[in-house]
Amino acid sequence: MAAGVSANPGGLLRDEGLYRFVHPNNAKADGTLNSGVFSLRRDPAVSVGMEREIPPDRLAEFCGLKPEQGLARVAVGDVFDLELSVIPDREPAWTEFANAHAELTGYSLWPNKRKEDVAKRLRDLANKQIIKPVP
Amino acid sequence: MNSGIRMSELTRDELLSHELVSDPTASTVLTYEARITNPEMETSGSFIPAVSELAIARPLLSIVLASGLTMGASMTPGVSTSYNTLVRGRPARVSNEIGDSLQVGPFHWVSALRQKVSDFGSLTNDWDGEGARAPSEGTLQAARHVFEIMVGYAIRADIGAAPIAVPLPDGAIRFEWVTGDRELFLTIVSAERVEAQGWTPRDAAESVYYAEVPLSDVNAEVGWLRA
Repeated sequence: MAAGVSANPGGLLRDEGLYRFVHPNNAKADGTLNSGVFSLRRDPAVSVGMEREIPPDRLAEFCGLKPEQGLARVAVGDVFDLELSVIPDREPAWTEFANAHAELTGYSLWPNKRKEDVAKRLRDLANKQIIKPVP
Repeated sequence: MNSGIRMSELTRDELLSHELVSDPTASTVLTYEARITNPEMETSGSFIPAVSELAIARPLLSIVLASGLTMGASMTPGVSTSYNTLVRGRPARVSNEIGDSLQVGPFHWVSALRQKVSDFGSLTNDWDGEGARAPSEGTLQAARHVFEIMVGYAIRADIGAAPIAVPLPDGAIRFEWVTGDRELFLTIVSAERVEAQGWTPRDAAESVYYAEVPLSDVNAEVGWLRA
């Protein structure tokens, strides 16, 4: 990351959560996730939802943005420990949850080996917090 | 039978080089028969005569043996003969119902996973709604090639655990394979290039092994799982 650029411009706390939609191609037959769910081969960023902007009683409504997909959660602190940044990035397609949208960034210059180490780690973390299995 | 090759002289590597024959020719039957005389694939004596019977009939039936490799055999439609045998020491049954397939023992995953890789060919750009690229035909062909190498290795190393296949957002195709305390990623990034990466123990934060290799060298990379 360039000097002077914050990895956490949203001021997220370590114990807050980030949600990631799970495409059916990223779920195994037993419902657990594969490494594609947080693939950092995606350019330029990975789309996530900030838990702080999604009230618990509206989580089902949030899932309804992509009803054919599942939902998994990772902790902000774990993401920071992996030296990724979380950049709030309003997404109008998320309608009422537009302000919840953020992007995981900071990996574009990493070698592939490191990208895959981190993607696998995020997969393993997300597998511990599958909020909604892929239908 | 249309062959100058005696079955007993085929080596294991030669057998693997004859994989995926699926046309109704004499050579198809040759391949099939060679497979079951493989010393690593135990079979009861009654099975080989049965294959001889199959060799003179039509139409084609694809049979998936424990190896997972699809081979052609010719059978008579409407005749409900079946054959009991042992494949790698496990009970198996071959039926002559057209379209039937045989999957045995720990290698039950082969047929379904092969189909899944083929299904990746129907992906289009933005298949995930987040801009993912569809795999190219070259990448798909390379993935099929790598998959057959993995199947061959699974048989030789007696690995029953199924790998999984994953389309990636940059158009690459990955196989994730876990056995024992090792996890291997084989990522087919193009028609010519594969990335291999391994972790041990499986929950290790950092991979202990990483290599970018041409497609022709994938065999050695798969071997890391039992190195």
